[in-house]
Amino acid sequence: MKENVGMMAAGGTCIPLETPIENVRLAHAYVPWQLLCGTMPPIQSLKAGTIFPELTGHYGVW
Amino acid sequence: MNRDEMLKALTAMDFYAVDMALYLNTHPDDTEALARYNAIVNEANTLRQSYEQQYGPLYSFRSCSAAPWQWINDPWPWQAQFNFTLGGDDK
Repeated sequence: MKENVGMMAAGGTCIPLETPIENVRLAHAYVPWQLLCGTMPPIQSLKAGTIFPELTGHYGVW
Repeated sequence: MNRDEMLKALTAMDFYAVDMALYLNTHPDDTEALARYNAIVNEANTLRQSYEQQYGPLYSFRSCSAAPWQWINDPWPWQAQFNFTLGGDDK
């Protein structure tokens, strides 16, 4: 079973994905496994289109 | 909270639940995520009940109605005056 909780980096920052990423093969697409860190308040999430701060701003929209 | 504030808060809570549900689809054993999901669903249900008591049904089914039948009262959900604004971010 995959771990679900984000690792705490030095300085107390939560890393919201698996580290390190293992068994990645050349010429194969791979989506990193998301881990739970903080979520944004509901109103802020509605504006951003996601509750996960790490998923904001990827397409220059927000 | 006035009507717009309640509707905005309710929409935001429902959105939070939908997005957390998507996460739970791939992380069904994440008890922390499940706790956050259940908490926001309960909070939204409480607010929805309060909203419907003051402003009428949000659904043409599922919602209880005072007499006479309240669903046909204006404004309809697809009319601009029914909805709230996100304060300049909803362009």
